[in-house]
Amino acid sequence: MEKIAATALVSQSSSEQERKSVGIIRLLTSNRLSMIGLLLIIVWIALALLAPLLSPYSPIEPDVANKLTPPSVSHWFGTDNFGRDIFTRIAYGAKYTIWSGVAAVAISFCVGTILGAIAGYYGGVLGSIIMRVMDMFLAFPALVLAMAIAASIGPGLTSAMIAVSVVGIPEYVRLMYGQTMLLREKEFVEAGRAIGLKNSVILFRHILPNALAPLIVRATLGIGFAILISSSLNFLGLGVKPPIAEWGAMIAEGRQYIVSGEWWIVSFPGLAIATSILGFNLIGDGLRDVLDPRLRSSSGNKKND
Amino acid sequence: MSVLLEVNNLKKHYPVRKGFFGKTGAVVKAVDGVSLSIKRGETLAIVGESGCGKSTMGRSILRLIEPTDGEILFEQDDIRKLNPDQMRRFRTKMQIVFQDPYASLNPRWTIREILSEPFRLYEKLSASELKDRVSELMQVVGLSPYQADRFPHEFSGGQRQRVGIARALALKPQFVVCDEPVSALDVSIRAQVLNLMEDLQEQYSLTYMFISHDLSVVKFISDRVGVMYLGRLVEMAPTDDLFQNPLHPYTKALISALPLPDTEVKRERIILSGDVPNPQHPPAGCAFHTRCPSARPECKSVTPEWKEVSPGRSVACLLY
Repeated sequence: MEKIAATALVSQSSSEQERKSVGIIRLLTSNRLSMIGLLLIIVWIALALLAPLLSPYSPIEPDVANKLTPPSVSHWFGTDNFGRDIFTRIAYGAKYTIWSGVAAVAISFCVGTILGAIAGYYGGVLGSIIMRVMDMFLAFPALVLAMAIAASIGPGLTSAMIAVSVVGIPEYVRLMYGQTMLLREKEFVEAGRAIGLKNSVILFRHILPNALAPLIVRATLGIGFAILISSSLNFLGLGVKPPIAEWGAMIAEGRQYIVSGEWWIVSFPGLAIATSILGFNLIGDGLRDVLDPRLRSSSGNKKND
Repeated sequence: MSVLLEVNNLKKHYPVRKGFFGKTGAVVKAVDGVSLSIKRGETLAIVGESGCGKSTMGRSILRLIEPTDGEILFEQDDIRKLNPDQMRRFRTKMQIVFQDPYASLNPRWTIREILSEPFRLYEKLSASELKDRVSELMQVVGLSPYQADRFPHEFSGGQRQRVGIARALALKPQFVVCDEPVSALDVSIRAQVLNLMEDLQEQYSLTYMFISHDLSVVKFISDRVGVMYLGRLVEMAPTDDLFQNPLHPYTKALISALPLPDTEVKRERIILSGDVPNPQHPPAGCAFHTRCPSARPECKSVTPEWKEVSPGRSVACLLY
């Protein structure tokens, strides 16, 4: 049989080859807003870790002589109705808030990803059952569902965390389900099957790593949401027990004093919740811009496209 | 030459879901009773329009898509009777090269990881042996081993397709389904890849099923050609016979569409009108009668049988 003359040699240099691989971290650091978010989170983590060093006061012991003092040099954020320093309490409370947000998201992320991958890859009856159960979860407003779960387990920090993580699961299941459905039709997955890979290997080594980017973005944004829900549960008394300094609980304790003019008891924990959520959301937005360029927003740095 | 693969009455039907409760009524007969055999060392090309079921057939033969019915005899063993474990081990004997070299390589893996995977699965090799095997494999397909630690996006389409071919050959298969392996490539690269595939066929005594819609590629690479229309084979013939003397009206139309290198020669063009019928409601009788220039009244009701008209040539048409 005749040979067709090969016109070019094997080593074609493509523009792709010369394309510089820009590190995700470099892209992220060039996004000013996400850097602000990172800074906020670092500040909160530092406060949580260094609370005992930063403040001479106790977050729990009452000091009746100094109750309800407005912000001053000795009490930056004022004191509450038991005379406890608000700044100290906020700094100590940061660990509960950040911990419950991160841990809850970690749980929903893991459970959701596994369930979504199974539903998406195997499909069938099992997949339908998983997805319909998730739809049931989504039918409830998140906070109402979280309250119901927390109340049924019994109040406490752990039960609040479990409630928040359960509420978060469907989001990740649906995302992973869609990603898996998309990827399982890809030819490299088919090639894996043609070689004789087991389903579990295909799922964990081929599909999962390619599906993670949007899930990670979602998780970062989800931490903010988890903080909001867990603070709400604590505000409603379904979380930590009273003397413990937690932002949501602090607002609950101080809310009756707003009318009498002691605004600082509620405002500073409220600001703390707002800034920590903002921090995670800004990081999440930045991450999304970097990991998923199709959704790159105007706030992202277009130079590095 | 002995028969390597024999396919009898292969069918793949897809149920069409209708309504809220997923009641299955209609079926799409993507592959509807294909029988063929492939001899050891030959290249059988399967041609047809988009959607005629040629890719589905290729994947069904490898059981990447589970066939609805039929027999697939590989060296006399019916591979449809193998359980999943046996099937996995059997897969070393038959491989596939995909159409789209951009989708067929995991974008997060380096070439080394992609090519190591088959070895990791079936052979216990030390790290240095594995490295040698990957380098060897890359050289076989014309890539430089120093490129092993790059990612697929750093390669051109032709180079990626070489990686795809290397992966298929890693396990030393006997039979390779090539699902339009060059149709996504630039014309200039096509020739290289086709030449490579021919060289490899000789070197490793491979048997190819070459799925394509490009008749000029088919003419170059194949020994025999099967023409598919709406899930069925309509004609099968040795390549030269098919191109010189096509029998089925559909084949004639396809051949007449081939550009001729000599502009002096005038050839009668047969232009088919209309589209391929909806496979959900294929026409009764001969599926081609709606577009056939030489259709007769009986074509509307009688389904033509698949018959051998001369040694090595089969056709499904009432004209013969």
